[in-house]
Amino acid sequence: MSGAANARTRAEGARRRLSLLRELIHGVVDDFVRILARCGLTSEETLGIVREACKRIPRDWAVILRGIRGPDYFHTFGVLTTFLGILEHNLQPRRHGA
Amino acid sequence: MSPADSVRTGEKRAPSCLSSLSALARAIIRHVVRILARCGATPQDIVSAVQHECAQIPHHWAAEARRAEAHQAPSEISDVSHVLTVWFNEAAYLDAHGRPRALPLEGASTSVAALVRSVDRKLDPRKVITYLVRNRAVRRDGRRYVPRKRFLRLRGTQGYLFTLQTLSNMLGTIQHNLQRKRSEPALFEYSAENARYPVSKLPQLDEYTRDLGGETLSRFDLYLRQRETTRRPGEPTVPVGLGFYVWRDPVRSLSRGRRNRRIKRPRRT
Repeated sequence: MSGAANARTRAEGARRRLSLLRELIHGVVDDFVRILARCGLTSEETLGIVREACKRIPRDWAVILRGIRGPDYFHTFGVLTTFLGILEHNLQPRRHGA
Repeated sequence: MSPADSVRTGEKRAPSCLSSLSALARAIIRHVVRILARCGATPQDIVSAVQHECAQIPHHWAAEARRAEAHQAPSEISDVSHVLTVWFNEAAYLDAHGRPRALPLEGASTSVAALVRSVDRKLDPRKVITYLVRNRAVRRDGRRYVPRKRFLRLRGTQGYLFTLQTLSNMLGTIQHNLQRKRSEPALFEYSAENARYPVSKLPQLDEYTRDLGGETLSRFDLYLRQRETTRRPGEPTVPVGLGFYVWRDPVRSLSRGRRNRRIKRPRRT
């Protein structure tokens, strides 16, 4: 395979990983935002606290980790997604006759 | 206390419940943001995902939760489940068959009041027993109270606080394990899973997990209680716990036709 083809494959792999990462982030965020809302936090409050928390994240964390994430990070996303899903499910008001 | 008084007390206490929820919510958001960042998400990715998801949350959810808080039990009976631990484990509160004894409300020894004070002197026995009866963990039999089960299902504000506390604990463990130094031991965080579990057998799984988890948690509870009661006077202590949860994908009941989860779960290697 030529150097150009290798570069294209690597770029394609990076795009796929980034797209998967975004999908996973949305999955986690979807559930935790719903849990907070069910517990009484408004969307504005949630967004405000998230913005504040994001300011404290060192810029190099994501830069360094992008591209070298291993199974442990996928495991973390898996655990987070499933756990948040269960909590959100259990918080839903019960419907009579459901 | 009359029902009207209860409601007024609840309303007065609502801000403190709200601030507890809010403090927990802040801690959770900090955990989630840091975990996502550790896993490679940029702050922009996180904010844009939250913005997108927040836009889909109906406004009435938060309003309903806040309204419910004003009418729920005060948040300070946080140690109420510990009362059940002592009731089911301490020899003084067990009969000859090892079952928890029926107790009168008042009395110097072997009463609900003595039991509650042995857990926390600041707790009001009447409020605690009312809460336990309302949550069906205890039933009244004449002038005595009989515990029905050793597990307490928390609802309303207590339920919200429990959910947020559970979430915060879990996120703390994940974050610790992600960022710990090599010399530091990881906290226990394991799961067993199967990608081809038959849907028809889900009810059995639920029953099996309740039995297994219930038994394990009871043993764990006893283990903690034994160490709590035999600690040296003035010895530093920390809150510790063990949790169980079952997951399935989709989490929502398959028979009710609710929305399926949008994301594809990553394959674990």
